Amino acid sequence: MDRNLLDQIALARQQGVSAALITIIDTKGSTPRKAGSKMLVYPDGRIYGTIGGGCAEADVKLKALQAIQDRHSFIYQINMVNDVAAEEGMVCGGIMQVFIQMI
Amino acid sequence: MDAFAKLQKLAQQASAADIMTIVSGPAERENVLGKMLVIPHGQEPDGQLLDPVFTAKLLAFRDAHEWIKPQVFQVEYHGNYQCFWDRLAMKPRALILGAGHISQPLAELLAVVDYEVVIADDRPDFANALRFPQAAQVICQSFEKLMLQLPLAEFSAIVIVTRGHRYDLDCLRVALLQASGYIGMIGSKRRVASILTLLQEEGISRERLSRLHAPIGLDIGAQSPAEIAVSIVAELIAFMRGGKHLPLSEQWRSCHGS
Repeated sequence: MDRNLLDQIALARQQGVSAALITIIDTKGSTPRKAGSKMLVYPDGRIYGTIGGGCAEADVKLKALQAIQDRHSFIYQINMVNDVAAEEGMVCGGIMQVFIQMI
Repeated sequence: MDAFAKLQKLAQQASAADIMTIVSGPAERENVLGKMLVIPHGQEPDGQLLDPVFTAKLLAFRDAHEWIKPQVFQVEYHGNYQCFWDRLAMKPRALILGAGHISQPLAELLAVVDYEVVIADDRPDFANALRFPQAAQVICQSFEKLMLQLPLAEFSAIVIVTRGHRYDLDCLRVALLQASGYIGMIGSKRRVASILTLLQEEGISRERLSRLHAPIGLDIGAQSPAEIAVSIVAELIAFMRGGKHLPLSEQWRSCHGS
């Protein structure tokens, strides 16, 4: 976790913005980024940082926006190996687990 | 202070810490997901996670495993929990005031020993990012303004190597009051003596002045800019790590009496 991200978290909390912190906690196979990569998702859909971009990131962002509504934290798995993923353009071919955490 | 606020504070001090986050647990304990424990390096954890027993299990895991990269591990405690072990690891920051001949090799060496390097000078030709590809930031600004703007307390090291006496003095005056880490200034013995006398007359206490490393560097007979940079970095490492500034061979001989 780095300082710039922590500053962003502090700022969001100061402003009373309920954002979600996304952390890649595990990866298998080929994924764009590895465990420990982080991204903040704001309720208006803005993001700070990246967990690798592309469809997988967009998918996680949608999940995070839902989570912000429900105010709960959970693990979410993104599979980039199956045919559907290939059709959607997630070409890395790995599995990635992210933790969606309310801040 | 909660975990994120604690982490931010540690990050500002460039401190390292382990971070344990509960990422899954028994169905009835959904409320604990996302709870974090911050363990500053070399210190006790900041509070506890769930209870003392659970906290002790996390610490035991950390102590039994070498850190390689962020990872998830299992904890059995009235059900199965998964925890994510992450780290706050900040690079220490070094500020080089003056972007002349010594600053170039100095910036390179500091980057090699893993400092985030910030360089400043008031001359655009010198304070030029192209001359310092390893620097995180190159600032072109008058030293007077710069010293007001920069968060000096956040730097682990401040090295004063400006082109002139007067600028050195401007920088040093503020650094001695605000900085908390290593402060070093280049200069001949005579020049250093005159600056110290002047600052003493201005009312800066002897204790504060004693924090200054000037003339800067270890005596390794350095001549060229690169050699001087080595001598500066050697002194900084010794300062940060509590080194003795002595050849290891001499220490060995004094232990073994030969």
